[in-house]
Amino acid sequence: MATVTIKDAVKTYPGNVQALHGISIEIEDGELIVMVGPSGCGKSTMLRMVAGLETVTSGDIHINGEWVNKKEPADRDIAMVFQNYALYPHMSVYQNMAYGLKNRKIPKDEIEQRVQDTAKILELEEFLKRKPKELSGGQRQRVAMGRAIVREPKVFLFDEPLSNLDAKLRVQMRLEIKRLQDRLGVTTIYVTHDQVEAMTLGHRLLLMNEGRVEQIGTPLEVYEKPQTLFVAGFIGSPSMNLIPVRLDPSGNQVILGESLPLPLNNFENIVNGDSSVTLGMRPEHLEACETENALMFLQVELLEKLGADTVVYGSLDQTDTALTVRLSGIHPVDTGDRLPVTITPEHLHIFDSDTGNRLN
Amino acid sequence: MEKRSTFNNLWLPYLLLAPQIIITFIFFIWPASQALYQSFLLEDAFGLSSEFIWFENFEVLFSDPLYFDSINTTFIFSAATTFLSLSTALLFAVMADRVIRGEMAYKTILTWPYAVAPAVAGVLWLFMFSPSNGILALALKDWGYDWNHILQGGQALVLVVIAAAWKQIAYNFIFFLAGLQMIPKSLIEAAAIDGAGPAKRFWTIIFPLLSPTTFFLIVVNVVYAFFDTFGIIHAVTQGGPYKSTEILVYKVYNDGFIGLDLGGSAAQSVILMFIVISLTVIQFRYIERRVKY
Ligand SMILES: Nc1ncnc2c1ncn2[C@@H]1O[C@H](COP(=O)(O)OP(=O)(O)O)[C@@H](O)[C@H]1O
Ligand SMILES: [Mg+2]
Repeated sequence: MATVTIKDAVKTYPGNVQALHGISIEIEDGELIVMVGPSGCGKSTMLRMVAGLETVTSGDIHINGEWVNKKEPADRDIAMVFQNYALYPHMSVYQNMAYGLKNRKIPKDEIEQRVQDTAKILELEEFLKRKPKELSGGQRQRVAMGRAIVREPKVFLFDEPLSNLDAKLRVQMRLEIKRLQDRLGVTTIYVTHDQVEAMTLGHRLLLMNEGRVEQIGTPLEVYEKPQTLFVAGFIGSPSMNLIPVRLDPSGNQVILGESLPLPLNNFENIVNGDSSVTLGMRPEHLEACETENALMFLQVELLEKLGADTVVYGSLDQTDTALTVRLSGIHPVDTGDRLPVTITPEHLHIFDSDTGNRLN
Repeated sequence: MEKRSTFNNLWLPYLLLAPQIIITFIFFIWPASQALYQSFLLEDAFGLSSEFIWFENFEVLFSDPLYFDSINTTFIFSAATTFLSLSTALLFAVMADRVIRGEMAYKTILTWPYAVAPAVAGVLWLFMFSPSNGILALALKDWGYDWNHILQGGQALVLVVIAAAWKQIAYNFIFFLAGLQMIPKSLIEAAAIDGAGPAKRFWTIIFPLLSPTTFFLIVVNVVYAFFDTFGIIHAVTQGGPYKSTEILVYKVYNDGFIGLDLGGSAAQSVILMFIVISLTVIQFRYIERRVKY
């Protein structure tokens, strides 16, 4: 059981590639943190620095209060699950799991006991004698987890462990990982580029973009109050409508395009002069309504009828501003319709277009 | 559906195969059958008459203690050469695998010895170990070790082993390096996290995963030591002193062309032919199938 503290972690690769620009987070004992962001944003780099597989250019990493910047991976008491699983191909499943224990000079009968126990948890008992190549993708994935669990480390590190599995297995393994982490209560850092994985697994998310932290928060905080334009666009599916608008000085309306006013209020406290802002509205928060209550009209161009809901793509009336609306259930709307929609003010997000920061 | 392409023309396939068949026939089948035929003959030293004597050449050979000495020498020579060149090449490859900058230059330089002709390689080492003025021989003398491979059979064997191994290192190096670079880096990292130090990682992860390469190279190097080291031995020791470096191939030459025992020499060639055939079979049988991950 352990805490992990990362403070101002910077990584510069040879050739002056700056992968991380100062990442800080305090991870509590037993917490599952998901680092999520588009590929190339530096997630793996951060994880590998915690593991000790990459040097730390500057900043500090503490595991359970102990400064580990200069410690060998073996001495950090961490276990890592790699994207390609990194199972030792010439060893059986049993030997794969026992390897780390053997290297730590644990008595043979204890190794036997722990491997058997772990195999039971992961339902791998019947595969212990097999070589990795004789296993399916999902089974290999479980062996990789078994190899991590059996060591009983202070911290688990996962680097996109599910990205090599097919969609169905991915959902299944996601649940399994969540259940395991709950049960074992081991502090975990989980890296993924998949926002659904992040939202479902994480106690808290750390959203990363281009080597910087965009936001740290629980899945709901991140969903309800994205702190930056990047987070707003990244979390949620279909992604949030982000529309450049001007704030009316009165604070009672925003002006869309040349002169289309949207009578939205509650923006009195946003002092922004005439600088441009971006209005964010989630597709699922826009509702169809009667014509007289409409805030705006959507010229319907494309429909996705999914049964559980209906996704409507189109543009705002008289403009070419694209807008996506997600209506629940099956909705009687057709291509070419002029759909009146509205939104409740608490679901509006306002961002500074230049800095990307949230304003309301 | 028929997967192979088929020829309707009856002669085209033979025409296309002809160059290969002709080359195989002229340079392999024909001389091999000549050797086989010759091994059943007893010829006088002037080549004026010959007599068909069935297996007598072989009987004589297998009752000759000198022949068994030569077999013994060959085994020691090829085992030592293979071991020395493989282990040195592996060491270089492991070091080169860690080099990030200048990898190309490093590889190129290490590859050069392979382009050196065997006799030249032999002469190079001969110069360095020349008892009277060779740089390494003199260095050994300063250390209090008396180097004289012209008189000492053991030292002569060491010298030809070094020369033969040196030439083969480049070849082995390339294969080992390729093999090392095929091993996913994450495996090594996983082992490091699993608490294995560099030496342990090498012996428990890297070396086993290299075993297909190692096995292939052992066969190649044994074949090389058996059959391709004539030039080196001829340049350095001529099989001496007192036949201490006379490997089988060199004995074929010595008995046939110097001793003019053509039948006995041909019988030795036939035996060597069988050795090379069985090594080739081993190579194909096992390398194609076994030890692959
Ligand atoms: N060994 C390396 N040398 C140089 N640049 C690297 C190295 N590893 C990663 N990078 C760069 O660092 C950035 C972050 O990479 P990475 O941490 O792998 O991203 P992610 O895991 O989020 O996809 C990328 O721009 C990548 O090109
Ligand atoms: Mg990555």
